Amino acid sequence: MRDALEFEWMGKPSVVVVADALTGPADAMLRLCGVPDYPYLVTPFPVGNLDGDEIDARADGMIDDIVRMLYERHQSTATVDAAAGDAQLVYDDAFAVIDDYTRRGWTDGLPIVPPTRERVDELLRMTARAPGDVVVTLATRDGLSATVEQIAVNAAMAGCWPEHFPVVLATMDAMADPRYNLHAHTATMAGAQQVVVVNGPIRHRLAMQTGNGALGPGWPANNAIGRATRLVIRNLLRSVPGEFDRAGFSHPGRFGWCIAEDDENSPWPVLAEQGPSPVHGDATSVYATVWQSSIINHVRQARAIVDELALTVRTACDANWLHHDAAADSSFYEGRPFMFVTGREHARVLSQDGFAALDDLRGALYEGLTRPDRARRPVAIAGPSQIHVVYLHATGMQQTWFFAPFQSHNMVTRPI
Amino acid sequence: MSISTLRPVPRPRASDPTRSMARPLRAGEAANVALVANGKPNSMELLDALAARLSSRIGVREVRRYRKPSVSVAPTEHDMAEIAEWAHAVLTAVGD
Repeated sequence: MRDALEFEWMGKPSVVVVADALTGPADAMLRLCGVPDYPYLVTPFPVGNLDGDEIDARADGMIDDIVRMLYERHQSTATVDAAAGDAQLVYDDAFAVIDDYTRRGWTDGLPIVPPTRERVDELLRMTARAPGDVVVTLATRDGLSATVEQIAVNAAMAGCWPEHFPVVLATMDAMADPRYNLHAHTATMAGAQQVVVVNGPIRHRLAMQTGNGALGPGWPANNAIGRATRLVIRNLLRSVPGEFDRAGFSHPGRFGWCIAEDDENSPWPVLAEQGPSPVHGDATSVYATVWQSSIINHVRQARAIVDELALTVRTACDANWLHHDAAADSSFYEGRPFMFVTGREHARVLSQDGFAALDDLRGALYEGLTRPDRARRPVAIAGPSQIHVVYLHATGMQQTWFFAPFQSHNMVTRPI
Repeated sequence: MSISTLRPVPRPRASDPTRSMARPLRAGEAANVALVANGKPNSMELLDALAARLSSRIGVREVRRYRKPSVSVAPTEHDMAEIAEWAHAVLTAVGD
């Protein structure tokens, strides 16, 4: 939709075809761009599985409208009241704030901390950046943006303590990188989850959980930081149902998902040091995932663990459009990351039985994901260096999780 | 005692007066038509089918095909510049 408007503004009459499943985001884009009544063509979803005859039939059904639209000038009659909405709102008490913010759709459905001026200022004092500095701009959403202060408002709502705010800010910096392609995976029907991984001594200063239970609830820093990023995406970048969010199932990880790696006990370089531009010390990495697979086994041979991981991931990727035939044709392919999160038991076997070096583990996994196999197509992964491993000091269960990547994104790491 | 809070959402923006929709094609005008596929499966196939029908309905001088680097990103600067220079009308697909 955005492309068609750009062409119109260039003076080229345009017609865009949108699947009926995505008219919500299309209409949101039109409202955002100030042309809510711009006409477009709607065709039933999906288009990708049609055969040639079916495509011809769709084209036959649309051609009259296309000709008409190319010969008629569109005149928008809509106006936007730029003054609407007070910057500050006044309530009787905190319960009234929570009720009203929920009613307005400004929360994730859970209660929020009222973002008072005083609380937001406490967060802002943790950064030298000016409140009005723009941190995120989505060109593909007509320049929709988030400033330092707006991010602080949402972080306060998420329950962030002031000392959490530098992590939130650095994370949003990372998410703003075009390689992360935030617009795509916050508007996809796949309902992608934005995962944050923190490395460095700041994990200890914030008492982040890096061991048992680290992927779940109960850890103020992990949970509030993750939730803050999702509230920014929701409230400021407008990924809400009816606007840009068009998730089919969605996912509980979209309440917020912030992982702190156990740097000290990892047998391998930490995540922030695994990419092409390693960051040492306090760092945040952002990843986008669409589903996860768990591998649980009790084997004591590293090679057997690698084989099980490869089999599981390869099978799931074959069934979920992450095989080479379906997902290798993208500008994001070369940098598409594949993230594994492993606990103590698997890490110990792997590192003590031939895979003390991360590159050796990457090589073995890559070989298992891509070697010829009659039953499963190769995984759409560009090379061994695209494999990343995060270590949690989670004990007891011999478990590793695979975080399947959203196809069109690269992982981005930023210092905190 | 009342409590005052800050809005967590952007304020509505004013319309950009420099933006205006294109003038439509003129009757009898032979047009160069750009097809811009976003890379979703069958997007270019659908555009090709539409272009074939368009050629029999209006005066189409030439059709050129463009494919975006990936879904949800803009066309390349090169392609945008060429379309700006050359095309009279654009068909894009598919929001799928």
